[in-house]
Amino acid sequence: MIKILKYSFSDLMRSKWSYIYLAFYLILGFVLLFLNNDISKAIITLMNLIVVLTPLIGTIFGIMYFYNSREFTELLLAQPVSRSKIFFGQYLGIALSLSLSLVIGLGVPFLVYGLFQSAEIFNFIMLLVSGAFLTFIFVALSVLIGLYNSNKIKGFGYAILMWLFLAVIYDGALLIAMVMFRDYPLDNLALAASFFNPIDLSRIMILLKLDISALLGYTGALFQQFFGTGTGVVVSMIILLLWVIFPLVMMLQKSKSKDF
Amino acid sequence: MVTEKNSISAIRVRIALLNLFLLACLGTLIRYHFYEPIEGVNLTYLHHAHSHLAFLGWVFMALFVLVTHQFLQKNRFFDKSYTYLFFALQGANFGMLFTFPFTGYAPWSIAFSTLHTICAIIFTFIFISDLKKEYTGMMWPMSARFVIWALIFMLISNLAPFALGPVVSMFGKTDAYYFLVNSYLHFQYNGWFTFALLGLVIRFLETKDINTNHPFIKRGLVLKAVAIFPALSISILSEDENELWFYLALLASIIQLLGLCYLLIFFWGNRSHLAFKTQKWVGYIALFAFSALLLQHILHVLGALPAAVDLLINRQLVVAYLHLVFIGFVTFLIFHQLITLGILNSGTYMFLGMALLLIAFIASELLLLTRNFVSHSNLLLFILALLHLIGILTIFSQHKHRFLPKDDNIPKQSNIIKTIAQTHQKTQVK
Repeated sequence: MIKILKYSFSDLMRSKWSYIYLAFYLILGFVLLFLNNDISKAIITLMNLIVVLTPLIGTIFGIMYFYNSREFTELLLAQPVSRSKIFFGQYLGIALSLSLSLVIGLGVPFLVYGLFQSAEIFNFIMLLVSGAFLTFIFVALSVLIGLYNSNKIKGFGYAILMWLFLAVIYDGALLIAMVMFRDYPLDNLALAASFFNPIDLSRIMILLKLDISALLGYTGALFQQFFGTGTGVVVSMIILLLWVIFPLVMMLQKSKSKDF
Repeated sequence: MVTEKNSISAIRVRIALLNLFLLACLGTLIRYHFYEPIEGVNLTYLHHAHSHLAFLGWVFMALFVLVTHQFLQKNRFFDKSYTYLFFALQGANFGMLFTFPFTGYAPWSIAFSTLHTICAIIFTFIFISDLKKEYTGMMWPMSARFVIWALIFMLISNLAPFALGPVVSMFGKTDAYYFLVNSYLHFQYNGWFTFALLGLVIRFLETKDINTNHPFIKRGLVLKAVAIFPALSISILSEDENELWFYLALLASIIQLLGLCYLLIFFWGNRSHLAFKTQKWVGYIALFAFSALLLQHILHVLGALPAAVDLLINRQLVVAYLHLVFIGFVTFLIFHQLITLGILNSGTYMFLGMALLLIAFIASELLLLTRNFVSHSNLLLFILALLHLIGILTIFSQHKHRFLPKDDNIPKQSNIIKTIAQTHQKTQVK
């Protein structure tokens, strides 16, 4: 498995795309810090960007890489290597290289700007952690979609729809539902609803850590009320972890039964 | 020799792509300014820089590359005058890039844009004389006719900025001023860009041995060329509410649409030549670009209806409309042409870049239309602008492969085999 992980990791590193992604975050980090001149403000802007961008990049890249390396996968399948190792190795290769670009790309500008001297360091780490979580989650989901759909165009369409649903539509639909059924006690339902959207959840997690109640929103406020700040962060992190594990298990299950 | 032509065009395209990247950066900065105002930045200046770089830096340069690549024979293509012109044009672009954001319209920036215009005029004359030499005593192919018309419209559009000075000093920023600005835009968009790109697609079909001397193409050319002057009357509508202009604009836009339909039917009949067999997505890009063009023509008809006049002033709609033509049609068709000609590669990462650009483009168009109903729309537009940027960076980085001989996949393949061999060995040892 390590071999396959190494292969897909080095393949991605050689393809230059990881460097582009890295360069993008480097430029973004430097420019945002230059324009804001304030680390905590830059973190808030970055949070808004990361919770939308990393899922999309993870989704598209994951599904593209999956389809693109299908021939190679088929070759590997003919070898005496277990299926779960092949897919798990490839998955880790993609997710690790994307998260590495994110962490280094954002880490360097903030370090140059004197992150260690500021009190924001844990908030910043939280930002990177949630970005990495989102990458792992969405790469897993997109590989899962790829496994279920042999048709490339269909798979691509489903992947983008999934991102659109979780990033944009889910929030709007939830809000509309809240307004429509405001006469009923919906607090617990809304709380549960936020569990089912990793993007929402990671936004809440960062905001809880940042302790900005004005930006928390409805579900975030419920979260804080229900769990308190410290437990809230831990709970959201556990649920994010479940969001990684669940698609991963499904992915490995499907890969065992899929007819190539 | 063909590859050599390709490699020179590839270098030029890289420069044009750099302009595209820089203009996307400026666009992103504008979007950031809406999200959180930046101190000490003049938004109007940024807009000027963004639009100049878009028209003159990206589209003009890319069309320069494509037109010379497709229409000139080898001996003329490698002529020094084109190289000098290209670098003079690029110098003017960089001059504009470093003056417009800081000073707006000021002596230096105007000097650079004038330099660009003069170079463009020289290019037109050299190019047309080269074409004349090539086709003496022959019937001109349809594609060359399209491109000649495109260049003529480009010259006409360049008259407008020269007339601006006297008009502003005599009448101030009145209706005449806006009419001139609109006519510049009109002849650039509907004249130069559209005709040149249609000509390039037809040329591409000609190189595939398809007879383009087809009645549909002739009708398309005539109808579109006839309609372009009266179609300008649509920009008068918002200022002068004479009924005559309404009828003229409506008639012209319907003729335009009809002409386009003839051309599109012809292209549809030959669609198999515009796509790769193994990489279907290349064909879909052309399909998307032509749908955007068709949508623009339909919107042109709708815009001429009396009920829509008020919409013409709505700034967001105008921005959405301009980007529909600019990214949706022009940029994607340029990319399609570059890929089918082999100047850009058609690898997986090119697909990734295109997909990112396409998603970002469609989402920002939809967001611009529904902006008033969406919360945080400025933030979302900023994020989408960043997504454009990633897409363009990806495309930019993917382009170098063509300097190598054709089989650029060899190292990758051998690595796969090596990995398999190693895995195999290991299992055998066990």
